[in-house]
Amino acid sequence: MKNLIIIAVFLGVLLPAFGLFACEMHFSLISPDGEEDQVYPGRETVLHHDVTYALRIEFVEDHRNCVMPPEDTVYLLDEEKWNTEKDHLSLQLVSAGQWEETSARGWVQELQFTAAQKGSASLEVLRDCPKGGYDEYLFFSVQ
Amino acid sequence: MNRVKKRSALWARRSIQIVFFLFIFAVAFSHYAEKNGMDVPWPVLHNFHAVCPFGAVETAGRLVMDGSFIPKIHESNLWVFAGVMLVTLLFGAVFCGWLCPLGSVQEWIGTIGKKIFGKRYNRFIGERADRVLGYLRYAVLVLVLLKTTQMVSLVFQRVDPYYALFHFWMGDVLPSAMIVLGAVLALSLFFERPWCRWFCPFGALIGLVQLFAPWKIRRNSAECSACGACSRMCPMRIPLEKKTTVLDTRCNRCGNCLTVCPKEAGMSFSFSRASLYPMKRRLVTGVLIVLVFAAPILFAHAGGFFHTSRNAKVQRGKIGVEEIRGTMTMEEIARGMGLDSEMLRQVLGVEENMPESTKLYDLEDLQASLTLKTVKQKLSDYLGEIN
Repeated sequence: MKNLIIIAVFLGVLLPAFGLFACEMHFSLISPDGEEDQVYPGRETVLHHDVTYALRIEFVEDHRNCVMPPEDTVYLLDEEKWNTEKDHLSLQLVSAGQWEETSARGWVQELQFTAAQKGSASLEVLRDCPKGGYDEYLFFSVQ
Repeated sequence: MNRVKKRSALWARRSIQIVFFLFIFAVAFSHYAEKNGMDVPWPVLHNFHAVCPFGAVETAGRLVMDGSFIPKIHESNLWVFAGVMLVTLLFGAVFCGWLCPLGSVQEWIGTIGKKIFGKRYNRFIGERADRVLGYLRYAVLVLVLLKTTQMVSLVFQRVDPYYALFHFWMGDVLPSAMIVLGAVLALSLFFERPWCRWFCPFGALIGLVQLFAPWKIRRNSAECSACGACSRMCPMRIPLEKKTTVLDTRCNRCGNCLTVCPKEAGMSFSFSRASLYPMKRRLVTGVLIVLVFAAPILFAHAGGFFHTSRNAKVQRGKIGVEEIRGTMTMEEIARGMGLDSEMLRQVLGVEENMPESTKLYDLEDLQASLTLKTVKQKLSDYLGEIN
């Protein structure tokens, strides 16, 4: 019995620590019907032509005293900066919401975009900072 | 065995532990120094994560799937991991017992605990509970691998006491990791190496791999007087006097059992039963361990494969157009492609007052036509012309 209590106490210490796990960047795609799917870097996500989606980016600072504000996150769509003024890109950015602080070191932003052209597109998400930063690609296929 | 030999045997391992601790501290400090504009008299490593062998395990899923790495993990991790696996496949979990700085720190704190609690030290829970808690390491390993694959990021860093130990003064470490480090160090006053035996996911993997190692701790039953001193001395509480060959995954090859055995040939760290390995060669064992561990890393350094960052390939004349990334500066591109910086400006059509430190992804903010895509295209066209 004593041993079981000891193990339970240790698990009690360990399990909340697992709850702390979070990604540095977490992406989800929200369809017009409200359905939400996770988007994983390096894996292809299928989009429907002429449909407008919301891409939610959740960002958790993995260093204390983060030197780079969330606003400095760079999005490169097919190797060009992704902004609302560019109408020649295959995924047209309709609007980019403000970064909102959801928790200590947790931020979220929503980008509305339309899958304007059929074909493939890669979105590079960059946080270029001296503490390691972040650099990943999201791949989309518009059908 | 006389007392002098025992002491020298202990010091062989302790010396190596101190050297490795100082080495990793130097690596971490150089990272800190670089960020704060300080100079250090040794080569600076830009990314501490890039020399963590567990990083290679964390990125394994993605590496197999698409040949890429999770952020902050690079080729260098694979070489350090190769060193750990090579030394483990030969000698068992010596990385844990002889090299790992976090293990060493827990052990050093444990010497204080031993002075405070005497024989009660490391005996605050029963053997069975201790053994069962040891299985938590495997749960942590599976959880970290699953989460890392799912999130494509270095999730373990959030609770990693090893990272926290070498960065706590930098103001970078998250409170969750500081809490885990504090708990581990506090528990080390009561238990021998609590992180290693109950929680360490890398130790869990090493423990499994070491089952294949030909060098093992062996008990010579013909010489053994069954005094039980080896079991009492074992930090992992393995009942050694009941075993002839130690196959327990918790054994970290610290060699305390060899040191405490009153018989010259009662316990050995040997390749086979026939070749008992005397304690006086312990220093040789230590040197061998370090050399085997370092061999793949030195090989990678010599061959130029030890890349510790994505931009590490930016050496003169070493990169092609496909390797150009938005985070590179104009100066890095010129150097990497072996171009004169004036020639690069001409090829790209960059204005004269554009600083060389400009990142490629920022070029289009200053000169709208220069997106990363057009930069690559212009360089590709130029290379096509001169070739």
